[in-house]
Amino acid sequence: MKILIVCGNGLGSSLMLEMAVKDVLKELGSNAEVGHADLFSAKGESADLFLGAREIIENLDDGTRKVASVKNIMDKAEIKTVLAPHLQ
Amino acid sequence: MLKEILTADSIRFAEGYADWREAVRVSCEPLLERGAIAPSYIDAIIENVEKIGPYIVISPDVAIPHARPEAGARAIAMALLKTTTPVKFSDDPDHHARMLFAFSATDNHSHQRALRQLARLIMDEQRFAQLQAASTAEAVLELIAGIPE
Repeated sequence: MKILIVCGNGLGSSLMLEMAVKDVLKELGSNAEVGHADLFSAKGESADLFLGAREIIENLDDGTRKVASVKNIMDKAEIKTVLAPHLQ
Repeated sequence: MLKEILTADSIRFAEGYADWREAVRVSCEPLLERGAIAPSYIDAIIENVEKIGPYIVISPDVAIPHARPEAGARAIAMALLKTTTPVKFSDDPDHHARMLFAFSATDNHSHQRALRQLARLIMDEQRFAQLQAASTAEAVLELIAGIPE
């Protein structure tokens, strides 16, 4: 499984969210692959799940890909709740 | 790493701002003064938020104003603007922040260690509460010095 973390510029919040996501995946015992990209290059990439802050995902969600969003990208509990159903 | 790019004179305090654009401009002033960014970099941050939404508010009370390196970044640098009243990036309380960590990066990689440290600080409940309460640059720097690299 490949998760792509998306943010506005591809170098700030996506990096911080990626860090929190990796911590959570480790806790959940998942070996999902994690990458990150900015909003515009993400549109041309493929992944099993696109994850980002709400405003970013709203810009990405056109029905062609599986997306999930978090309100607080530094909240591991929220990230876990959002990710867990996708890891089944 | 974080303590090398966030210097004491780049940590500033203010009452608050009625307009988030002005707050973003002020948060970037230390970067301008250090020659780490061109004025166009600040315009790019504001334009991105207008276009995409207030995604730079990354968690309660914290915003990280930044843009792409090619928008006018000349060096890796960070500044912190702490306000007494929250800066409102939208009417939604989730988009209010009293800590604006403006940063510039010259590529996709060299600033990563510093941002990872910042993430560790935000995810550490106790240290984060101390950061919210800190009212001097020295207190902020002391907290940063305590985060593992």
